[in-house]
Amino acid sequence: MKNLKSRIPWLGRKLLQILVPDHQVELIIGDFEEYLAAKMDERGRSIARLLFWYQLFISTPAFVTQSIRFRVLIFRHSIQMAVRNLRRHFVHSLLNLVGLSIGIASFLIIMLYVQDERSFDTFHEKSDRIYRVLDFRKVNNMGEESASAPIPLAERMLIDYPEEVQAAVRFFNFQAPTLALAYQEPSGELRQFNEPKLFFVDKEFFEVFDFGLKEGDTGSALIGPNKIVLNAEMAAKYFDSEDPIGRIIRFEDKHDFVVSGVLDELPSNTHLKFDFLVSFETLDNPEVLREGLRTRWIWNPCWTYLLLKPGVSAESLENQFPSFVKRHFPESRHDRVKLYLQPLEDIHLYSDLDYEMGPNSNVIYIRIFTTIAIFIILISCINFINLVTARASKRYIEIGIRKVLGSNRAQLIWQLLHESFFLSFIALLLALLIIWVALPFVNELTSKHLVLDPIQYPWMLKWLVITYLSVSTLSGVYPALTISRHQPSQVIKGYLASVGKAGSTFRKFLVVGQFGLSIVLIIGTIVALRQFNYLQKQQLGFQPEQVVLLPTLRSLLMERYDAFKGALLQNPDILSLTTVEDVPGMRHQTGGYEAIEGMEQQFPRLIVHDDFAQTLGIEMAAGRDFLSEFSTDADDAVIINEAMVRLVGWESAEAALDKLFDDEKVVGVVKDFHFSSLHNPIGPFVLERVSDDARSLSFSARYIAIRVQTDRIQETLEFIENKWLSFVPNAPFEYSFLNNMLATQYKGESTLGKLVAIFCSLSILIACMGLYGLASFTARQRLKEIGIRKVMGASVSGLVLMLSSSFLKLVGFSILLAWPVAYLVLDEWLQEFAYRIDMNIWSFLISGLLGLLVVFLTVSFQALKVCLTNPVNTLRNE
Amino acid sequence: MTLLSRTEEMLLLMVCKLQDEAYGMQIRNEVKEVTGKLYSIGGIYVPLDRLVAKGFLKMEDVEASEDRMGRPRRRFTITAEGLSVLRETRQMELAMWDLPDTILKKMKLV
Repeated sequence: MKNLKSRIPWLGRKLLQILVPDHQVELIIGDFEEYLAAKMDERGRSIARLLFWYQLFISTPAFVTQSIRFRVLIFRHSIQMAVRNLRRHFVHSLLNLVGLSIGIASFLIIMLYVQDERSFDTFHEKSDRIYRVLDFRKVNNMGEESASAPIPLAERMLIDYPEEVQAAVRFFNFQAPTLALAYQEPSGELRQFNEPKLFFVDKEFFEVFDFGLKEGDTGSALIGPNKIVLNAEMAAKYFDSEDPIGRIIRFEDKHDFVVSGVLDELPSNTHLKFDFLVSFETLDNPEVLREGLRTRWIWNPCWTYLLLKPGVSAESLENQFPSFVKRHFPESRHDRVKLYLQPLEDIHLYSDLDYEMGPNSNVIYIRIFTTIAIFIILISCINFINLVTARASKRYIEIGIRKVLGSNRAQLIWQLLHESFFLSFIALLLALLIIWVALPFVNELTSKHLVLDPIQYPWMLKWLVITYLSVSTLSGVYPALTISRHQPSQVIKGYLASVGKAGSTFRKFLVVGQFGLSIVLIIGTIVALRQFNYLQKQQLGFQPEQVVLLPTLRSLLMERYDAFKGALLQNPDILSLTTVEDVPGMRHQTGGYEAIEGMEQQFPRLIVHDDFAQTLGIEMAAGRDFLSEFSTDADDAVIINEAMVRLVGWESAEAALDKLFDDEKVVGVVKDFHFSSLHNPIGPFVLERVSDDARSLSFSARYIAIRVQTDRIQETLEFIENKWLSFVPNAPFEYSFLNNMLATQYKGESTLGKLVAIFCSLSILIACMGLYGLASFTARQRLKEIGIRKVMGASVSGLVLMLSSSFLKLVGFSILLAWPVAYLVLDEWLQEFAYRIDMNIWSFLISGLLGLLVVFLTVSFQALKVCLTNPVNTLRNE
Repeated sequence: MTLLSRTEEMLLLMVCKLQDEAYGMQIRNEVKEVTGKLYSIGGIYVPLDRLVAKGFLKMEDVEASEDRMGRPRRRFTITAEGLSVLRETRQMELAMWDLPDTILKKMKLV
């Protein structure tokens, strides 16, 4: 009966080893063998085998429930131990938890931000097939890179490429900063506003983009002329709570549009920002858009989006564009026009062209934020590891006893991992609380609508779980492996010094890494803030502070500009005024000029009115401003900047005067000023005087710029408004200050600077919390040594220095490591700017000193506490 | 007083009966023989463990022996508490069955 034949099959044994809890495996296998042997005697070998498998099968449920109950027991035990440990070392556990949760919270907030930025325009069902047509017009690398295309281009694309293009949608707004709308209430009150976000769009709009209507029918809302749809906020602004459908809105005091729909609320993650949409067919009316302009290929005011048919590659379509240009653009433009297709989803992060619909973000910011997020979570994980391993020296006894009582290493590792999973879970909950509190402020700062709602967005839940798992593994595995490693005999003998030291090499390495990351962040913050300040203080070359801009494109006021100017100048607080074609210091148009004989080139240009340089406070290098005394300025005079003088090759500004520039006489040379944003260098630039006929004025004079005295600004503005309303009573009065408009260009950097500063301070805080904990532990380990030193006559200051120096050395080392890394990263970022600060040695020195100072304060506080204890207390037990 | 379930009562009695031979497999075989109730090999330990948890049984893993080819086995012994609860159960059952003969006969219980 008792021979080896009754051993159970190999597979059966393996199965049992999996199913049955470790401590029972042998027992159960023994039972099965006994059973098998008995059955073999009774019924023979093969039947016995079958019976064995049957037994195994019907035993399985019992085994499984048993295993689960055993696991739960162990888990409960681990959690209990974790809670006890947490209580026993309350302050350190708190440091640990708070550090980790701040880390997780920062990481998640930044990732929410990044995710939001990346999600721009991806919500359209066909977004991967939608492209924007770009219209580059450059000769010798000078000229414009326009995000918008000529008006007839979309129609021709549909005719020329019926196989490739499914639909085309144009956005058109006359390139006007604002357009005037008015609504006459039944009671007689007139509501009129200048609307900055009004676009004429093709009827395929709702087919191409996934925007919807709350009221009205997407199939017909934009078909036929004079239809307008608007969003709910605008409906409330014009009609209060009345039903907007079917009401009449008056456009530019001339044309009546019928409201045919109310838009759904616009998602915040789209670069298409609009309040009103008007049917494109409205433009077929020559009174709205002059016929010549409707079919013009020179002017490129339309943001044009093509929906390609499924399977069509954008590249192959792009390759056909050169022949398209030859067929349709006028002869003179063939050499310079190049058309491209830009994927819709790339616009927000990758596009920085001329005439964008609005300011876009930059992928560099996304990269910076992602880096910071990863830095912070690494720093806080390192913290966690440091604190847990440091504290572990107090737990070796516990571990040793467990080992003596028969725990094997795997069980200990699991126990310690359970602890770190438990602590990370608490940290995660704390982090969610922090996010909940902090998110409104972050939204305020970034003007976004970030929400943490894992129920509505399943990907967030996925993220939370991934973050949680990786943080707990990252911070749990190392301590679990090291702590469980030690031999019980060593531990119970109480000899821990060598154990502590072996672990501390790695710990030192971690501290260096952690502070290295923090120092990189400090340097980054200092440099980013300096760069931002530099941008703001950069000499623009003109004074935007007291300049008021009134949007006037297509305004009837321009027919009586001279009279208006005369009326305004009556007021002594109004110093001078002019008109501009675009916002100086922000945007400009371009024009083709033969600066050098026989070679026409595209140059940045503004068409302006008399007294331009005076109004904007630009200094003349030579010659004169456009002046009303010279009535022929509009036809044959031009003003250029110094960069243009250099380009043409005239020796000096004076030498350029009265020379011919593209058949016009140079009457003045302005000193170089920043006619576009500081992201771009100053290049050659041309100023022209607008012709005085009403048509040119209403087309090229988009703003009236007025220089005012600052002391009585309110009265002056009221005066201007009164005059405005007396000239054009049916046009809404609106104004903005030039310096405020310019500041919006640097909003990206400004937000970036603030966010980087906040998260950088947080990372330092976390790192210091870790260091504080670590310092207190090492100091306590050396209590007796310190006691003896004190008895032997060591001074407190000497002891503090001794205790701090080991940390200071580490931090010093990490500073040396961090400097080159920071230099490389920041150097790349600064390349973005045409005008940038030098990265001088000071940013680096300051960051290093700051780091050392913070560390010294943190560590020496602990050291001082230890060193001030009476040696009697620490030594009396020896 | 503690009420034992039928299964518990039966298992405790089996352990008493088998004395030093009260190993898992032996209990299983005995149960099968006396009551016809058939436990799976894994299943027999579930109610036994429960009795251990209640304190009525004590268990010990007996070191590897020759006749198990080096495998340990688990022996159960009854505790004082187990004995007292068995005693109470017996008293209670005797009291319950203490019916007049007339009734026993009338209901055809004997």
